[in-house]
Parts: sequence; structure tokens; C-alpha cells
Amino acid sequence: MCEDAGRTGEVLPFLMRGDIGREIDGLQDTKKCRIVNMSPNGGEFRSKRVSGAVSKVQQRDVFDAIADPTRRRLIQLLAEAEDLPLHELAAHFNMGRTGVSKHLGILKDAGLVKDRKAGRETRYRLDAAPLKEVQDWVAYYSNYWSANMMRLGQLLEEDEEA
Amino acid sequence: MSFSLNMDFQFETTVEKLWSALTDSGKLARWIADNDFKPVVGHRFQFHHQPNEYWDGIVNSEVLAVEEPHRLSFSWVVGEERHTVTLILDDLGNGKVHLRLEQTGLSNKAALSGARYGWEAWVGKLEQVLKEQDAAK
Repeated sequence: MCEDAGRTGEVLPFLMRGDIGREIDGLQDTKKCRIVNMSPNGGEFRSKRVSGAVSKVQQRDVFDAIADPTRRRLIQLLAEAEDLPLHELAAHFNMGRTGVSKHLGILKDAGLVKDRKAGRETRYRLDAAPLKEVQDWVAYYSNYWSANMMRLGQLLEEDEEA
Repeated sequence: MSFSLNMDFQFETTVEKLWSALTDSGKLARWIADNDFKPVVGHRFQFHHQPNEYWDGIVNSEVLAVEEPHRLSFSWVVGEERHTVTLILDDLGNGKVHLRLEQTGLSNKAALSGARYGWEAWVGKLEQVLKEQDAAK
């Protein structure tokens, strides 16, 4: 269970993404949310913008894309299948195909979903790669604890030998 | 509004030994950081991590719950982030102990929910890849 968390010396559990204080726009059905400053010493991090997440290919911030439960569910559904057409995806939601299609569009803008024509229908598949940015963000905490737990495991083993 | 990180770990030890490793200041120092922890509700203490360019390394904490040998909870304050860390021990028998770590109060909704669903998605994808590999054999 205690997977290798990498070199512990590099773990900075409380330093977060660079786009601190930035408003996330474009949330369709959730309130605007603001990434609060998570650096421990005030706003000094502001100048260190490391985001760069919104490239030409990826027109939408992945954090924005996953802020909505419908879209998270879509990601989950697509993760369980090779690819799916709109009507099969829409069957899982209490909303029309147009609504689901809009959400798919947002996921597509974030680079999380790719689509292709297959005969008369469009099929959608997941590209989980952009989620790495999210993982990197939260990895500070999970790496921190994983590294600690590895040391705890070692400590307990030594106890056993002693 | 706040969000949580949950992590599960399993150790080959006894619940008493694990509890001791979680509540003895000297042992805590060996797997978290130097500290002046005491297993007394209301006790205020600090963890001193290696300082760096951005952070003095200090976590300010207060013991919130001590239920030997099953549950330990303390606050975890760094800058404007005010979290609660809870450690829950569960004796699985056969010399195995499950440890659940919960860190609540994290302030970034999108990142954490995203991470949780992100992991689910990845695991789903991985399982699928493995199935396909099996099928190809």
C-alpha cells in the first residue's frame, strides 16, 4: 500500500499551483470559484506563474472542466469504455442530449475528450493525460503522506527487529 | 466549503505499536518531522519541517482527539490553510493494521474532486488496458 513516493527531500506539501488568485471563468453551472493562495507565506507565489495549462490545443483549464459533477461522471463513463456515442452517454443523465453534448464540448476544449466520426454517429473517448496537472497539484499532499508513511513502515519494521 | 484527502495504508504490526508510532513525539519525528507533540487533547504543538524558499517549514497544530488506540486527530495550520488530520487505526488481525489518513479542510474544490475522479478514471483505464492485454494473448 505504501507506494514509493519518490525522493522525500523534494516534497513540498504546501506549495501549490502557480495560478493563485486567478478567477476560473466559464463554469457553466457552478459558481465562479477562486483558487485561494495556498502558499504558506502570503502572496509571494503570485509572481511565479507556472500554469501554462491553456495551450492552443487545450483551450480550457482542466480544473474548470472537472469542476462539474456531470463532467466528472462523463469522464468516469468514458474511462470504462473504449469510446461511446452521445446517446449512450446521455442515457446516464437526467438531461437532454444537447446538455450532455455541451458538457462533452467543455471536456473536449480541455483536451480530456476526443471525438471521431464513425458512420453517422460521433464517438467520444477519454484522454486522461491533461488530468496530470490536477494530479501534480494534489500530489504535494499525497506524496507528502506517502513518503511519511514509508518512513513509518520502516520505523515499525525496526521496532519489530529490536 | 472544504475538501478532503483520504489515504489508506496497511502495516504489518500491532495496533499498539502503530499507535505508539503515531503518538510518541520521538517516533513522530522519525516519520513526519520534529515536533513537541503530546497525546493530550488541547495541547498545541508544531511540526518543524525543513524550511525552504517559500515556507518556514512550520505546521501549527492542536490535538483535537485522542482515542487510544484507534483514533488521533489534530489540526494542521499552514498560512491560510487550516486543515484537520485524522488518523484511524483498524486492527485487521493476522498482524496487520489498517491506517486511514484523512486530511480535511483543504480549500481547493476543483483540484481535490478532480484528483479523486481523475484517479478513478485512470484506474478504470488501466484496468481496461490490462484486460485488452490479456485478450490479446
